[in-house]
Amino acid sequence: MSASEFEYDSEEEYASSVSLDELEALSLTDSVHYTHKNRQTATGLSMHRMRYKPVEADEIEGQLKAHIRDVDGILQIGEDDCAVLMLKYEWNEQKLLEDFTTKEPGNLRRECGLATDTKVVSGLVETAGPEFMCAICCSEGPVETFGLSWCDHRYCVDCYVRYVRGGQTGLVKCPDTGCRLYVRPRELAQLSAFDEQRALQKEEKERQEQRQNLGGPLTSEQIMAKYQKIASESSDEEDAEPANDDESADDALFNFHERHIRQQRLEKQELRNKVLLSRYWYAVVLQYTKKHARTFRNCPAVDCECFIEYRGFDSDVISSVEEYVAHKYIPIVQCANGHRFCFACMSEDHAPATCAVVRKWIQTCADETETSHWITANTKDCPKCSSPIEKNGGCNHMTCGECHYQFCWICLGDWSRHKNNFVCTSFDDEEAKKEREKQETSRVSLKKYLFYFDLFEIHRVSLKKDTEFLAKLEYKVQEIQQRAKVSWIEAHFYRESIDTLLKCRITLMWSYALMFYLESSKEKGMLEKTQSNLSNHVEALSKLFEVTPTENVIKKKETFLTKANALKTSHEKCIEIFMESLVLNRIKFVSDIE
Amino acid sequence: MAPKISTAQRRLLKEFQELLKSPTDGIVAGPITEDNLFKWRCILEGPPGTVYENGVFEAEMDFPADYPLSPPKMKFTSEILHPNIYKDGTVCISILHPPGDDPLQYESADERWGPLQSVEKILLSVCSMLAEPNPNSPANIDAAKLWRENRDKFDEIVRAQVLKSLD
Repeated sequence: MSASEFEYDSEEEYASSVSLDELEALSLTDSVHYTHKNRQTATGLSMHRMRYKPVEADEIEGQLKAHIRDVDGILQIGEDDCAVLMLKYEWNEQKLLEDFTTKEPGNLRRECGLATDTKVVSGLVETAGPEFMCAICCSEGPVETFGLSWCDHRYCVDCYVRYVRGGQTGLVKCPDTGCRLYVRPRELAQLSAFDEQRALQKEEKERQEQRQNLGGPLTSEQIMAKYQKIASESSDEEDAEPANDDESADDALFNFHERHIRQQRLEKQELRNKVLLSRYWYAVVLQYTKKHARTFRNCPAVDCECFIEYRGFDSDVISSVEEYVAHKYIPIVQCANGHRFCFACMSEDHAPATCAVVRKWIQTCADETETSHWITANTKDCPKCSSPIEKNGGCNHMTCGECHYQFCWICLGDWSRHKNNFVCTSFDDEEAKKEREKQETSRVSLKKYLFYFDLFEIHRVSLKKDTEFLAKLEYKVQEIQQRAKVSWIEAHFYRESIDTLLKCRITLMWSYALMFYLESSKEKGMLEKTQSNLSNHVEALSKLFEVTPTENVIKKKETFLTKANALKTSHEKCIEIFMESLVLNRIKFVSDIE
Repeated sequence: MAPKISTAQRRLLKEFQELLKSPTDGIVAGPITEDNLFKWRCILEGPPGTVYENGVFEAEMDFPADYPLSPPKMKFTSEILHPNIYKDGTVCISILHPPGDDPLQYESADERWGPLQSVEKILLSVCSMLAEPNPNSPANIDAAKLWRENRDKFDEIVRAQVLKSLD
């Protein structure tokens, strides 16, 4: 990707300056993904697809550095000064070039927090004598300090490192309140290198101490210290795991994928966190992507540092994400770490429910669930005035508090027919039957909601359980794989099957939320059939996972592959059918969604 | 082994000592209790020549664990009507906001929070805020409206609060 592409702030400009054919060619060389796999559905409807590219922070970092280099090619002031200027101008290259040519150079530098003479100075980390006191933490010398060479504000290295880490934008000002100078990447590199080296020395020292300690028996204090260290580490781990309550279920959706790449990702992230300079560049990347939020989105999964780059549409009709969503499309993208989310509303994968349905559903759930659950479980409506009544005693002779109608709790019939006999005998009575029917219709809307809510919940819980169960299983399979000396590729089908299963559960879950808002029609019936078809495939694969003993997994590869492929096909078909119905407005929503 | 003192504690202790050693007129501040350096009580005199003159206003400060990297929170416990003070007493002033929200606003960078600001500087800023309210970013909209449109009524309420603060 060339640096010139950074000029495109909005997709309008993007689309107008690059022809479709060029983009097509670009997509071949540069791994561009599509929100939908096929350009045409089975019935021949040609779809509009969003193009995107999963990118990682270091890729963007490299592009930004190249961009800075390019700009410096024009300005000729050195890349470090140029980096500060670009950050200051929030990557608005045009404005910067304009100001650079019109403003007096000294003024521009002063305004942007650059010293007039930024010659390269090494050895910015100095040891200060006992007369030194760090103005931030008030600790006294002798201590290592850091400061810019063109202002005399020096602070201890610890404070400086913490201060830089706390920065959000990539612009690091000298901590002094009145000083407006910025710490450039070059100076920061010195601080970072010192910090890194010190951390290494500390590690080495600890290792040596450990080695010495191994020589003799541990003292009780050492044992205690060790115990506390392990205890605090394990409690940290527990904190990191999502708790088992419902709120964390959203995290659980992402949790499984995370296990796959956790190690790799953590290592990378750890490194980025550890090295001050990398952290700084990540802040720069974040600032840049926030500024260009139409093009770049940060993956919403917890701690995921991946990005999605928007690459326009393969359509002449649609030119923005907003328009795309208005046409009831759902732009689901997948980041490099495998997290699937919606590019429009930034929530987790919610196809086939549209963004509007998701918002409405979440709101409905928040409003209704608890209250309505309790009402159905504990109350009946008064046959006369329909106010809900809670039974608070054992007697079945009820008197409505609102209209004072007397009725029998069991058959909902008039109490007068029970007078001689306290046992309800009139259950089959015509009138009582009618009452009960009435009751049912009055609760039908609530029931409808609860029906779909339960289905949604069931799949959500299943998803969570599957996620946990399969993650455990996978470790076992890995073990077996190693023991049986089967190659990683050979066992890869297992991981893929799990991925497919979880993906389909999510789809199923959201399809029920969508169903709740649809008016009954032939089309809806068809969707329901598709849904139950998918559901069958999901359960079949889920069952296979449960009944197959771990030792046999590899032997059963064929069965897994068949079932998973069937599910995959069914899932693709399902998504396509739902999307067609939505996009062609073949289905009507009951209440007006937005 | 002596208990380890955190950066924040060391710094707060130092600031407290400085305030005791060289007190500033109209400002008194210190930790509420000996065992918690992270909660301070402050007493501010209303700046002379303003409607707040002669008032003695009490406020509390809450310091975060990563002080001085993050700013403290300040809340008046005395009743005080002012456009930049929320109805619950929380003070809204630029020195208590970390910089970086708008990088191009460099003019105000030295009025923002930074690790070299201090309790004393905050209190001095609050004093000048009392003298000169900033009606452009009101925290208490009713107060701002009153201040702009009916200064007599505003002054009357504040004077009553000043009297109350002396009880």
